[in-house]
Amino acid sequence: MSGAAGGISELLDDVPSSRRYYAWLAFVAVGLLIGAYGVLTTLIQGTTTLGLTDQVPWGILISTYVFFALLSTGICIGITSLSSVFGLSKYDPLVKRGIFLSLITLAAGGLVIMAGLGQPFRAIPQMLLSPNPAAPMWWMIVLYSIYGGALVAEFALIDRFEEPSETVSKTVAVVALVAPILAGAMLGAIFGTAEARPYYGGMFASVFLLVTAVASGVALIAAVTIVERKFSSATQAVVPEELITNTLGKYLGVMAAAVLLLTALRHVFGLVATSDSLALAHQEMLFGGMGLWSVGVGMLLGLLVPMALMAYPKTRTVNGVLAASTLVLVGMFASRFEFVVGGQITALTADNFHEFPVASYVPSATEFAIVIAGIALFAMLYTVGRELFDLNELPHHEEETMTHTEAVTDGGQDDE
Amino acid sequence: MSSEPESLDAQMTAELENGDLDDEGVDLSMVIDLQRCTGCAACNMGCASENNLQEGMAYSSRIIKTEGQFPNVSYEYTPTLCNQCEDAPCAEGCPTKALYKGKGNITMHDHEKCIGCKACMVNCPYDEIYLNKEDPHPTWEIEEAAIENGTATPKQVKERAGVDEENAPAYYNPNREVSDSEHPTRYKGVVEKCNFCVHRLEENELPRCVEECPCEARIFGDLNDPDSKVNEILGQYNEDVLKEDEGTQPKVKYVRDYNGGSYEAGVGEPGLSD
Repeated sequence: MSGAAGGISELLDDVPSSRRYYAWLAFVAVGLLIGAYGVLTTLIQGTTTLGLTDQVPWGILISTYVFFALLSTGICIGITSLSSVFGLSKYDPLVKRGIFLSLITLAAGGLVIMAGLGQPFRAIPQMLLSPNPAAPMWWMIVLYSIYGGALVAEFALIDRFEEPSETVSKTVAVVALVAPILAGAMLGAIFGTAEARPYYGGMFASVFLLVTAVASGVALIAAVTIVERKFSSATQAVVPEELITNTLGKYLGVMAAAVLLLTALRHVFGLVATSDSLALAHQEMLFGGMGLWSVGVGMLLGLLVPMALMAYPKTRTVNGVLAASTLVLVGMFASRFEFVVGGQITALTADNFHEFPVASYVPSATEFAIVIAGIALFAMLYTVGRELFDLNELPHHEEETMTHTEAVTDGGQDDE
Repeated sequence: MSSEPESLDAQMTAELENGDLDDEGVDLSMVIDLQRCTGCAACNMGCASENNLQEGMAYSSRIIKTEGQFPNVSYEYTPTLCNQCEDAPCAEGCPTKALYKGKGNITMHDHEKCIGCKACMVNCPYDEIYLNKEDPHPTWEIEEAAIENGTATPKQVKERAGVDEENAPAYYNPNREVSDSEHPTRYKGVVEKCNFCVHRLEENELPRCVEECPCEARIFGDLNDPDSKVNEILGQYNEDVLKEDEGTQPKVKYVRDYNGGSYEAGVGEPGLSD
């Protein structure tokens, strides 16, 4: 692991001291300030600062949480476990950065969802003191906690140990694969078990969220790695261009196509449903006020364009992959919003206290500020993390795995 | 002539007095007679006053449906409240068991365990759970009088009344403190819903909406008591529940659907003013 030995110093050399870097730091600081305003205002004044109503109790904070939690889930399922569990060494250069990104996206998601709770300080104690194993939300939190622990352990094994035990590494890696699959499935179950809201699609919610998780996870790791390659020669040395354009680019294209198909199926089944309220919900999300957001950004810009960019070899360049992955990330953010709000947009009853037949929801400025808090926390943790740790370090594999490397490399060439 | 028949309220209160809310197997239910209900909304007013509900929150509400075009118009008024479902999706999805099936098989809510995650609101098919986005009674802190130099400000009233802010804020409701089922002080960040006025049931009083109803349209009692008034009515008339397909098995049932074209006479002895 010679590349890893001098990693930190190399990385520090690479830390840009240019104006651009300071501008980035200022950008993150402004984000943190806006975010702190949102979080503190909500803590002091309560959820009255949020645009939520009794009919739409889950808004952009929940969708942002889903976005972050599934980014984390997707990176682990879709990228890092391919190397750490299945021994596909081709993905080795992405593992340490991937684990770190998984951890900090989980943290960002945690911040956003906690800020939107009515009683955030009670959440953890009550989950422990009064658990309800019948509730998917309880399982999701337990599983994401186990997952968080496994991520820390996995990261520490690469960062702190020269030659960690293969059994321990493998066990931790398996936990870091199984826990997020189950946690993501439980996250889907929170929506899917809300039978009163068929928009979520029952069991399909778990499948949909897990598949979209992988798409968003691949997009995040591709985008971050490409940006790193532009600034750091160490990253450039470890991550070959072929891994970006050939592997991640194609992977992203295929995932965007899969998500586009699933999204289209969801909407087609919904639009032709005999249930008036289900059909109305899909009409509202596709052709109503949210249409620009869910179709324009979520489907066309966020899935169709990146899919096309990755399908054509001429646009499957490093910058092409950067553009496609950024678009997928923006699109998935919109898509999460469409998913979460769509389930609540049609009124359940014609109660006089409520809006009927369509409930309205507009995120408040404070909600946007809390979303910015999540993004800024992510940016800050990454900025600090890349200085503290050598994220280009390759994971430790025993000889047995090393032999696989060649086989995989060959396989990769066959793909071309 | 026999002596004057006991009022429905008196009969139902007697049932409460003879039973024990804490007994296992008590299964409380409310039957609403839609022919008797005039849509006066006394239930809603009574509920709001009993539970100190602020504007925009109604444990007891109604669904009004007007269909057709004049002169062929149908008007349907359905009083609503938490259905106290047997298979309650709100309780099932609550991560901290803040919502649970409690005494009398009522779907209870423990304010102290609620984390304000709002999963129950998403799971409830009836939109019967509300979130206290802000403190329900902030008006007592207001220093502005309704009529300047004419009325006292809420803050002055609170001070003159010698309110002990520490132990009993102005909106402290001792009625809600008869047991540990309810919190005497409502506060922000938690959800709330109807619990059949459990604080009243514990004192052998009927839920406030039942008591307030001037038409005796609300019949309340134990489904597991074969002699209860609810069982008598349910034996005579076909029952309806809201959104039966959801499979939640509501304990709030409706009889004699209000429709000008049909009037269900019921079977056996005259029941509801037949």
